[in-house]
Amino acid sequence: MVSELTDEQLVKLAVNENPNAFGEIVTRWERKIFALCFGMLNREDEAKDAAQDTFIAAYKNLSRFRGEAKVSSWLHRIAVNQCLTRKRRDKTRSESYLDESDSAEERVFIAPKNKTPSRLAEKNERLVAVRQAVNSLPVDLKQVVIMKEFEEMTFQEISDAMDLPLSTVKSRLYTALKQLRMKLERTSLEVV
Amino acid sequence: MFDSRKNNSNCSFSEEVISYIYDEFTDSQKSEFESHLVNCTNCTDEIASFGAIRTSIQDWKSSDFDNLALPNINIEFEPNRESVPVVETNTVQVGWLERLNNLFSPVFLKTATGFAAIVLMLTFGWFLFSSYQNGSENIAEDKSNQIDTRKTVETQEKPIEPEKVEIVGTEDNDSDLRKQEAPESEIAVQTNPKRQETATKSTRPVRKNNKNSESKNRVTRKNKVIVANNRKPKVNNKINEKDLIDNKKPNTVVIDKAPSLSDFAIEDTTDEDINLTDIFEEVEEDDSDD
Repeated sequence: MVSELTDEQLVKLAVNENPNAFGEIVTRWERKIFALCFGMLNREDEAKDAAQDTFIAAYKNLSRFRGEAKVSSWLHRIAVNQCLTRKRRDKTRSESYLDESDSAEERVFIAPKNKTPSRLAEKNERLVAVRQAVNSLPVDLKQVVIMKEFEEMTFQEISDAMDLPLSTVKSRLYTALKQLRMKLERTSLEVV
Repeated sequence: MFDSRKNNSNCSFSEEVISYIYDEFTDSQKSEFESHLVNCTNCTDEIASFGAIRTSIQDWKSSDFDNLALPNINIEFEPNRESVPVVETNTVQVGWLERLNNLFSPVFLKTATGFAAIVLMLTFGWFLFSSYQNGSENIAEDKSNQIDTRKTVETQEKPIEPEKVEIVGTEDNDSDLRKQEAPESEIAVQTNPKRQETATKSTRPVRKNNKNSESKNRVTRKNKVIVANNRKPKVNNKINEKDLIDNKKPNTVVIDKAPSLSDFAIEDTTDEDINLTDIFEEVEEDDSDD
């Protein structure tokens, strides 16, 4: 019964102290919010903590949800704020993490065995370059890229979540991809 | 839809390119755009480069994110959460009577009582401290004031008790005089040793005379002097009439002890302010008046 309700109806039930209603909201948006946090933070533990804090903050501020925006927009806004707060707090640590080679080595062991070492190294370099390029994007552009690629949201969902016109979402994504192409060309890495 | 912008190298098909890459076109829109792509190298290049970037991002996602387990979102249910709107509306409608009752709640009364107790304790402590600091000075001032008041009382009461002076006239009454004077120091101080000396030498009793105001004044003046002289052997410090009038403080405290006749005898030898001849003249004047 609860699964048939819309997000806004679930929030109203949660405000009236129905714990199952907010549990359904968490189930619906858990993976997308985690993907957004991972795309923004690039670290599993940080992303999980940010996702956890996002839902806790949403639950504590249920009464402030006026229903003017969609629940997806509200959750994404909280998640992005959580990620930005964590990035500001751990700025130095995050930058050093990006330069570490440990994660790249781990990916070597995770990768399929049919790839040659040279190809694996080339792929790892490309992944590092893409990750750095995405992280260097402005927040509004980066958020659209993460929501589209990691959360696999449609443009209409992103438009609702970010409370932006559909054309603005598409133009932001177009601008983001153009900037990524320029950044990757500067690194002299062959894309694909 | 796309025919008007065909073969334009600077065409702005940004939205269509994005929609085509992410496959969010309808079938009709997709076929139309593909027909545009046949003759538009700009859009074809963008689709190719953007597609390659998407592939890299998907590789990044699949290698780093897809294998991750979902986080365990554990949120404790709080039934008494303060964010319930009904609670907020109730708090707004609190009346003045209820607020007044809250003002005099037991918590407020306890706080006020404790505060008052602290203030009282501080005030009492300040009073004790200040009195301790000024204690010695106040005691000295009080004793000096007592001496001054005694002096004034003596000067005022002297004319009323000339009978005591009259009793001390003969040597036979010395023992009786001591018995009468010993219990009270004030009375003893008011006795006139000069008259004792005079009576001893002249062997004439001193008569009582309350009728003549002139002699009363004289007696008063002399009694003042005598009182000062009576204290002199005790305190070893001379106090004359002028000092008493000016209310000067003596340097020592009066000892409440009845003086003896021997004390007066010693004092007479050092007194230079009173002459026996003056006293004899007074007695003779009194006799002549009678």
